Amino acid sequence: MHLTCTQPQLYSALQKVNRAIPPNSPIPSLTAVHLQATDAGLLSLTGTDLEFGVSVTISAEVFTPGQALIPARIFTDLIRHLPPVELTLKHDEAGGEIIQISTANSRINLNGMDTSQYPELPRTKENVKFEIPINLLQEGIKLVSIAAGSEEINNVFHSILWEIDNENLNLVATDTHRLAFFTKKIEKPIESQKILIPSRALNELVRLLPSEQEKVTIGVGDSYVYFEVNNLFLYSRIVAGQFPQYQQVIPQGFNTRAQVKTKDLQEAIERAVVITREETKTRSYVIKIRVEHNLNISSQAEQIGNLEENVEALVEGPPLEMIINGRYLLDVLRVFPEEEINLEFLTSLKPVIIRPVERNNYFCLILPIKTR
Amino acid sequence: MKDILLCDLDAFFASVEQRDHPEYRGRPVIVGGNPEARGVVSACSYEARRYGVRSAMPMKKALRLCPQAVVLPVDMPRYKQVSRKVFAVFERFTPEIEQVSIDEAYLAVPGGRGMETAREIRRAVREELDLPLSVGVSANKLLAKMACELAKPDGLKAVWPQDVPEIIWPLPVNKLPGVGPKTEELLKKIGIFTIGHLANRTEREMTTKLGSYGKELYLLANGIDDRPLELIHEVKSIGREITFDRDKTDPQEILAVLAFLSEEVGYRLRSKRLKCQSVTLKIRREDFSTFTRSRTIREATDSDGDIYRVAKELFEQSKIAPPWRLVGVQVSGLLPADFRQLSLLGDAGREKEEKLLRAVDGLRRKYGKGVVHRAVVLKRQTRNVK
Repeated sequence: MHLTCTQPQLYSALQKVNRAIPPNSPIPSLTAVHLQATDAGLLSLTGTDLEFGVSVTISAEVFTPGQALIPARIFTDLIRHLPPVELTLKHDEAGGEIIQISTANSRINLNGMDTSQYPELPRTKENVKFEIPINLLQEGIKLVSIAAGSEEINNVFHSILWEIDNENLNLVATDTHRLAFFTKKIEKPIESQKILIPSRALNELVRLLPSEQEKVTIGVGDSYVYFEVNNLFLYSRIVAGQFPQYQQVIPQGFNTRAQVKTKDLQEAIERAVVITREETKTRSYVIKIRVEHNLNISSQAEQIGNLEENVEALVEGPPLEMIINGRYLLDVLRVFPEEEINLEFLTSLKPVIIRPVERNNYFCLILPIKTR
Repeated sequence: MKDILLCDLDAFFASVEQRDHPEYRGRPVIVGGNPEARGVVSACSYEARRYGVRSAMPMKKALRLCPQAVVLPVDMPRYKQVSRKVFAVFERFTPEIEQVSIDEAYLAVPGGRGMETAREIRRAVREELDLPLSVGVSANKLLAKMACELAKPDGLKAVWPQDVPEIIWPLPVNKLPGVGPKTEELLKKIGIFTIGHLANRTEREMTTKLGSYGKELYLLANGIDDRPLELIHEVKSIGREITFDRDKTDPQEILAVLAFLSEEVGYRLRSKRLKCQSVTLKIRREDFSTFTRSRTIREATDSDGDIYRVAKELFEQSKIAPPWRLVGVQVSGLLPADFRQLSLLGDAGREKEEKLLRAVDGLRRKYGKGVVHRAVVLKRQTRNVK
């Protein structure tokens, strides 16, 4: 391999690829970034932890095509500290895995790794392929990922359900204590499908998708899904497992409804949870909501003190009290772009639904806390 | 600043027996389990200690050392009753009491009143309850404890921070609370034999050699201890273990015992209205090697079934070879059980189990613990019948 490229392009690509590279791994080659230079004047950089992978392609002047595998952390730090000039990357003529990085003033030799150890990204085995507007994806993922567990494990409750039924894209997530649902009509009908994608991969996708582009191409295979736009390629393993029958748990109708300003409620709850946030696990962030003429929020902790907040609301239906995890409510309120929301209650021990007043393609439901 | 008292009832169980049976006074008394069933010494009178008998020693060994001893079974309900009376005396002197065990407590009293209060407490316990009590007085828990060790038996001693170099430093390093045989050996290797040797090293050296534990020891050796009294005796863990009268080799039988222990522990958790976040399994092999394995669970629980499932998993994964001498189940990470976050799934099952456990606990309270068990527990009993 022998090529030249510019430092800013290479560094920006490395930053993206690093999102998928684990700092430590029982498979040492996974802590490296894979480089592939082709005759077409392209340099692809790839990182993966086998669950999730990112590949970015940049333009380069390629003298000799080839590939290399370089420890990612050291390589990235070196490139970051080089000036924004043209760089030459080249295999050492003496052979072996040594990569030479040079500028007019610097010459660096890095010990690379054996490229045959590196896994291949599953790029071409898709069963369906289609396009989705990027802004739709970004909006949907941001709104529902709050309800998914965020640990880096591939588990149903740390994933987002991706469901296409002919002309709607539904995104659903639940960690069993809350559930978020987003739906939007897509322009062209697409083959129906239902897959589970780790929430972590989709959050990275939102972060990496270029907002200046309109659409992203999606390919769904048996065990992988990939997203491709311009020079960015991202893939994720599909989570095996059964997502709960979520339609069954969504309450139909309500007894009591309160319409409030998102910001008012958010600020009141931010204050309320300060009182209880340091309580032991089962009690932390617990607040009480009382709906009568207005919305009354209260919280207390024996060692700290107590608080009461009155939030102006438009209330329909009988009065009601609910104990709930205030942090779950904040998670929703913080991502809501709408100014006004409705809280819909059935009873004290049934899920409360939070939805924007002005639109009906998104809601989040939260299960309350039972006291004894 | 408050003065801290450590009050320790000398050879408590044995003293109660000698008090209630004048014929045992002046004779070696050992209270403990059955020597034939591997019982251990729970308490021994000072007369017995002269023969080398110590608490926690196997009864068989104790009887070899002191064959003429009066041997008595542990009568816990009575000792608890006496202990309550002693604590009632303490409460007349101060509300600030940390109960360490059935026979030991830290008391905080206004600064400067330590010695005087200690004398009065000792007199009251002697006159009203006819029991010997040793008291250590100082400015913190550590020094009070060490003063009490020096005061025993039936004595009173103060060790103030300024006395540390004179009184504490000449003592062997294993007299420092927290220094067991292993640490002692480690310290000896680096030339530390007395508490003074340790105190005269630097904090940095001790931290490098022993980590944060080394720093702690260094501070203790200098008489520095800022631990507050834990006034409401907070439960940190709940555990139950069984030493078998004969070593076991059948894993099925161990599972039955684990189920039994899980029921006991679950019952105690629920009666204290707590839930646990982790479960620890303890196994001792016939050669006394002891293993513990812990697991944290995703959602805090107070259910016998959950505790048993984790204990069983830990046992099956532990691969500790038989024969087994003891198994135990302990739960920790205790949380109040008054709030429960509802879940989209599985609440129906939870509710059902909660109802069942409430009913079972009611039966146990009314008719005794043995009245109802999980089926798997019964395997334990069939085996015994054979």
